[in-house]
Amino acid sequence: MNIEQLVPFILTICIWSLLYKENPFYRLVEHMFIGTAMGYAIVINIRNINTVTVSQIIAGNYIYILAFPLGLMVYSRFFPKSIRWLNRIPVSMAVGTSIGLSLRSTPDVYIFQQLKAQFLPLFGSGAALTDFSNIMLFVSFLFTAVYFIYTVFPSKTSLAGRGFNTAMEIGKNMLMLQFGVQFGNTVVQRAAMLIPRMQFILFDFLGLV
Amino acid sequence: MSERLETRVRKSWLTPERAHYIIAIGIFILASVPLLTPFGLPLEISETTQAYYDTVETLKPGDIVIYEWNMGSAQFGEMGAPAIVQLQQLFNKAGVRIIVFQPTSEAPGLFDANIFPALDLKGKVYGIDWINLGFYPGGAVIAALATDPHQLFLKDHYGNALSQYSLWNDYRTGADCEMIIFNEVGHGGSYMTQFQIKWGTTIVGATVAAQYADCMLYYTSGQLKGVLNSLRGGAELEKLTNNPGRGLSAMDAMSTLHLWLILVVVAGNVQYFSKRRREGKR
Repeated sequence: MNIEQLVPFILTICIWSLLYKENPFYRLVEHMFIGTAMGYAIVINIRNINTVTVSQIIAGNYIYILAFPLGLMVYSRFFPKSIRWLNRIPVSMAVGTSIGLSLRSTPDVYIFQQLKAQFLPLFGSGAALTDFSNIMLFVSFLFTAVYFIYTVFPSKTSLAGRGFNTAMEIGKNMLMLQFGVQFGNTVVQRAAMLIPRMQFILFDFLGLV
Repeated sequence: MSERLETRVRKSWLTPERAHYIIAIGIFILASVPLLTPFGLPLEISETTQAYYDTVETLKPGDIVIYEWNMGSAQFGEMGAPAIVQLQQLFNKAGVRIIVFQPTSEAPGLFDANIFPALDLKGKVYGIDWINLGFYPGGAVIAALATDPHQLFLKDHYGNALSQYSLWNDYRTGADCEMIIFNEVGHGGSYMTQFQIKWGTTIVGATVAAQYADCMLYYTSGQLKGVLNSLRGGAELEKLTNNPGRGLSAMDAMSTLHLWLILVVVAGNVQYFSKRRREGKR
C-alpha cells in the first residue's frame, strides 16, 4: 500500500459515504473534485493557447494574432453594458463556423442515410429473425412518425380519426420501448462505473486477488 | 397518499430509507463477491463487437488509423478498459500506423497516467508507427484534421514539431486515413460529417452504455461498421483478441449486479401497482 493508492481509496470512501447520508466528508471531496478539475482544465487550456495559437504565430501565420482580441472579447460580458455587446462577435463567429461546417453534410448523415436505412426488404432475407426485425423497424418508424404529426387532427368519431389515434398510441408505445432500452443502458452504465472502482479497492488497494 | 396508507408505511419495517440501504448494500456485496471468486459465467460475443473486431482486423500494413480518446474522468471507470484493449488490438497489428487524437482537456492526463502505461507497444516507434497529437479542442478541429491537418496541427502532445515525424508527413488529408476508431460519449458524428461523407472513411468505435442504443441507429444504417458497448463491449474484445484484462474480470460482477437491479425494479413495480390498486379500492 502506498500513498498513491491510499489517497484515491480514502476519496472513494468519502464519496460513497453519501449513500449513508449527506456529510462533510462527501462535501469536502465533491469540492476537491470540482476544484481540481477546474484547475486542470485551466492549465491544459492555457497550454493549448501555446500549442495552437502561439506556435502558429511563431511559424509566420500572423492571422492567428486575431485569436487573442477575439478571445478577450468573450470576457466583455463581465463589463458594463456599453461594451458587453462585444462578446457577441466571437460567439457568432464560432456558431457560424460550426453551422457552416456541419450544414453541408448534416442532411446526408443524419437524414438521408437514416431514412434509407429504414426501408429494408421486409421478406426474403432467408432468416426469419431478420425479416421480423426489418418489419418491426419499418412499423415502428411509421407509427412513431405518425405520433409527431401535429398539424392534422381527424375527427375522433370518424373511422380515419380512430385509426389515426390508434397509430399515435402505437407510436407512443414504441417511443416508450426506446426509452426503456435507454434506461436499461443507463443502469448498465452506472454498474460499469462502479465495478472498476471496486476492482481498484479489492485488487490494487487491498491486494485481495 | 391517504392517511391510512401513510400509517401503514410508517409502521412497516421496510421504510424508504431502509430500502435504500438494502439496495446499496446489495450492490456492494453482489459486485465484490464475483470479483473475488469469479463464477466463470459464459460471455457471448455480441454482433456489434464481432463486427468491430472483424473490421479492425481488415487493416493492412501501412494503413493509417486515427484513434480518438475523448473521455473525461467521469467516464474513465467505464471506458478505460475498452480503450486499452482497442489500442492494444491496433498495436498488435504489424505495420498499422496510429494517430492518437484527444479533443477533451481531461483526456490527455488520463491517457498518460492510465492507458499508455498499460499498453504493450509491440516495438512500434514513436513518430514512425504512432504519434500522439494530444489535446486539440472543438468540432472545427476535426474538420481541419480531415481537410488540412498540416495547417493547424504543428506540435504533438509532448510539444515537439510534428513535421519531423514520417507518419505525420504521410498523413496529408482524410483521404490518407483508412479508419477512424473512436472512444467517446456519442456516435462519432463529427467523423461522419467531416471524414466519411467526403472520403468514405470506415468508422468504428466504443461508447458508453447510455449511448449504445443511439449508436445502433448508425450501425444498422452502415455508417458505423462496429460498436463496443461500454465495459461489456471491452470485455468481449478482450476475449476476441485473447488479451484478458480488467473488462473480462468485471463481467461476472456485471451479471450479478444486473440480476439484483432487475429484482429491485420488479419489486418496485409490484409495490407501485399494489399501492395503486389499494388506493383505487378506496
